[in-house]
Amino acid sequence: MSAWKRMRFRKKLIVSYLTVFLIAVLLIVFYTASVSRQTIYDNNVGTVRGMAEKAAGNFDRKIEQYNQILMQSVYNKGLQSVYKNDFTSVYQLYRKLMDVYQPYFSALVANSADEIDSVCMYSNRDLHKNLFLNSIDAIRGETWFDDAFTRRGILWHVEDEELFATMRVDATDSLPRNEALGVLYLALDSGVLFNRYVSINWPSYRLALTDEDGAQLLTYASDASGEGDFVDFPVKSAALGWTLVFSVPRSTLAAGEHVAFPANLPIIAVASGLLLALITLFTHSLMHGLAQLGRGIAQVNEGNLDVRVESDAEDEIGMLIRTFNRMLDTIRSLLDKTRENERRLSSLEAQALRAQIDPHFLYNTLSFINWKCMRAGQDDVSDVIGQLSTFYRTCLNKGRNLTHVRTEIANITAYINIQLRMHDDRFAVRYEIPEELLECRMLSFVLQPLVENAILHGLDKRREGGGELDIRLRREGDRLVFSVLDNGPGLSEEMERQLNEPGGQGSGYGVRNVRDRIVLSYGNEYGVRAENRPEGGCAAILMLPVLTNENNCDES
Amino acid sequence: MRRLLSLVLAALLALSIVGAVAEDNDEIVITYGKNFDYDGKTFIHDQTLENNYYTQYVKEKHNVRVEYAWVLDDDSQKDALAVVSGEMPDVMYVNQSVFDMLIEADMLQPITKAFAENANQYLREACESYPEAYAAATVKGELMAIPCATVKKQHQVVWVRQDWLDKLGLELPTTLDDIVNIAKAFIEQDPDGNGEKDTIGLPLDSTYIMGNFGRDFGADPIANYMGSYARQWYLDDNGDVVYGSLTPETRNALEYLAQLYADGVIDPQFAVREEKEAVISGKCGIFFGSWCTGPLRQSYGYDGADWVPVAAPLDENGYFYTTNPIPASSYLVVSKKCEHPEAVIWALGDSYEFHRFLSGDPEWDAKITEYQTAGVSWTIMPFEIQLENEDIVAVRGRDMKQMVETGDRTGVSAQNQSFYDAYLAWLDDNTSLTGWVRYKGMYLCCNVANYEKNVYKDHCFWGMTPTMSESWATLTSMEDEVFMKIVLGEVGIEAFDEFVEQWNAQGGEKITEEVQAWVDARS
Repeated sequence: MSAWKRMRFRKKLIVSYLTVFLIAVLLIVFYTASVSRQTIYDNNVGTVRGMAEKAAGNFDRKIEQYNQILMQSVYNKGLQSVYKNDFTSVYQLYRKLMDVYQPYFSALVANSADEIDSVCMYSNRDLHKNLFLNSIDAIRGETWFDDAFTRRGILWHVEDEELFATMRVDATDSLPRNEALGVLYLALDSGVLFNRYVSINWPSYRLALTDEDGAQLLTYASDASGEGDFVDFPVKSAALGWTLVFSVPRSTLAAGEHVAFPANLPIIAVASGLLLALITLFTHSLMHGLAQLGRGIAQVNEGNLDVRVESDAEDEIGMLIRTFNRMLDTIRSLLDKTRENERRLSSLEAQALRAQIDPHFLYNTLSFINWKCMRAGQDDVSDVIGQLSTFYRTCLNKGRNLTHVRTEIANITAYINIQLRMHDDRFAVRYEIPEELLECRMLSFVLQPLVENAILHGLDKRREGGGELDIRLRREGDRLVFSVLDNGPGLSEEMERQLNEPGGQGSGYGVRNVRDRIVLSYGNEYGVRAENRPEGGCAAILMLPVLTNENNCDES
Repeated sequence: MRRLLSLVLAALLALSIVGAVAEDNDEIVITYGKNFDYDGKTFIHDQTLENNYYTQYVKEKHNVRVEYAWVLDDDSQKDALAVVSGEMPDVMYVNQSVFDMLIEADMLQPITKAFAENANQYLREACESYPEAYAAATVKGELMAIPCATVKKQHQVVWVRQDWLDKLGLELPTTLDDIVNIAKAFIEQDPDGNGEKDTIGLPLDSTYIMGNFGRDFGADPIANYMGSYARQWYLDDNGDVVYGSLTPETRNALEYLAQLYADGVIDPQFAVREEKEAVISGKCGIFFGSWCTGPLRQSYGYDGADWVPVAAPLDENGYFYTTNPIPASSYLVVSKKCEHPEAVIWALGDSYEFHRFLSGDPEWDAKITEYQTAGVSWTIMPFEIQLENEDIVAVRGRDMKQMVETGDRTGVSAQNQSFYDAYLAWLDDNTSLTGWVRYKGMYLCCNVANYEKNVYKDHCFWGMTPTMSESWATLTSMEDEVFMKIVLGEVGIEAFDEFVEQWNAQGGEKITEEVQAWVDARS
């Protein structure tokens, strides 16, 4: 069973086809073979029976023929004179024997072509043993003697496997005397007879002559073989009332058996060959669509959603393929939508966030505070508030996501200035911003969190003074690379990891938000990275794509 | 290079196989028309005419195989057909008339050279011992056939039942009267002791009353004793040719036989029954037969019949009169088209070498012994011609006498020793027919046949003259009829004189002249 499971689909197809074919073919073959066996057997039986009847007819004719011969021999005038033995002298008898009797029977025997074994007149008239002659005393002791001597007509006997006929001889020219002249005896060579006239044209058979009671009188076999089961064909002999039983080996009747089956083998072989060719064609056609589908799915599995499998078949597999395509389309559009939604959501969230900060209220309040400070002659405070105003102006950016580099730098400068004041100018800051990059567009409010981290976790953590903060921008190919460098203690492993992990918890909202916004907007090649500097301190690297005014920008 | 070598080797191997098969083409095949009657013949070990110990021996010794163009029990017609059609197998075994025809049709090749170079010792001895036979087969100085020499001393003698003689207190016969008296006694005095008068006297052959050499039941001992030599051409004291059936002696013999028949001494039914039946069934106690008579064999073991051969009748000086046979009556001929006449001589020599225990190899000797015990007929040998030394019967009798009476086997041939062994086996258990026959036939009768006071009458002619081809059949059938009628008493003895007249008138006289001419030319 597991072997079946392991088998490839194409092989399963082939096995199924073949099994079905073979079962069907074998059933047909065995059925036809069985039918034809029976037919051949019946045919053979019919043939043998026909031949047996014909042979029996021949036998009867032969018996008739010899009956005639016997009668002629008995009634022959010249022979009668010998039978009667009424001669006046021995010489006359001698002459008759020489001139008539012996030539007659010699010719009879010679002309019988070996069919006659012997012929003899057993004389009751004092004739002695001579050619074709003997005294009746010679047969008085035989079991068949009484019948042969007393009954008229021709009697056929079988004694000691000798087939012979006897006929009582009476004088023809006078009334029958009380005692017959003798018995004429004619013995036939049953072997010659059976072989020549009572044979059937069959490879091997036996013949038995049985009497009225079924006792076997004579047997004859066409050849020496004779094993196994025999089938009997008895035919009654009209001439004698005996039965000729022809026996044929059952195996020869069913001889066709070995013929029927092998005859089918070439046909089966040809059909099998054809079948294999067709199977190959069909499975190829069936498998084609499935294989393509399989390849498409494999590709999807690897992440390529742009796969498309073609099929114009109207069967289930075609439908499957077309459904697959539609499914992929659906997935792609779903993915796009999801991405879209996420973007929308974050922009909405940003919007919401920004909405928390009402810009007009803020500006107004700050302006008031600034005026008041200036009237109070607090220039330091006025300065800070001016910076703060700048900060929020540039930060809010009229609610747009994209801003110029110039604006962002302004933003971060304001922030840093504020921080400087708060830190009593205890650290130094340097800016390296190339002029040609100022007009580039970039995501807004991305630097602040980094600078905030640099100051809070970097510079503030320095025990002695001399903190340095570097803000640098350079262009690498199609990237804008901001670097916020401090010479603080640097990052611990833990922090480094958290900051750099996508979706990592980070140090609060800020860096994570920046990173996520960048990645969602531009993909994984851009984003934020924090690392320790070789000279000590931390470097926060921000990578953004170079956007000119023509690029799409989200005008939200 | 290696491939070439293996190719060459393979070719050589193939050639050698072909050669091995072809080597069998060195086998010489001789075609032969065989005269053989399967009836009553025994084969052992599923052997056949084509494959038996004889053929195996011939094949082993000289790589010769005999193929049978035909196998018939009477192939005289086939032989004659061969002459007429001009087509014959390599070898045939023919009677005198066919032989003469073949000579005239020039279809035979001389085998003088083939015989001289290839005959083994046995063949040579047989040839040298029977010059008359070989003369018969020689035409214009060339040996044209191997003659089947009729062995001498196979004439009829008298066989008589010693047990019946003993029963009736009679002696072995010496004179003709003895024979007649014994016959009468056997008829009258119920020798078989069953109270019925069912025994006969002397049986007689209905086909050849007399004049057939060695014929069972032929009356030749009586006829020859009376100076009658029916059916035989011989020279009288003047050197004239005589046909024995016409002589006064024959007349007398016929008259005597007719008288015997009339008296019932001769079996009244002889003309119309098989005489051997009487011998076999124990109804007869005295008959004429040769040393190897058939009925003897068939009557073996029957009710204590103890047959004994006697040379009788003897004249007052103790001489027994008989004839010598025609030297040769059948001939083994070789066709002009036969390419290997020497193979014929080899096959013949080898067959007899095996048959006469002369192979010198105990394995083969055991095989021929096996054949003799089983009763396998010698006629299954490829060429079934009888080749013996002229005096084989005499030698056999002498050897058996020596062995039986003294147990001494020196100088006895291996074959004759085997006969003695069979006889000894019979003495042991009294069951072996062969042993009994060896005893009766060979020991007793051969010596009887070799009776030192035999008087032989020779034939002077035995062929066919031109007139004989036309008339001989008629003349002989006339002769048969007259003789039979006379003996049966159908006609008186005067019929004989008529017969002589008729015989001469219907061509016999001319024939006599022709024979005389032939004899004169030969001498």
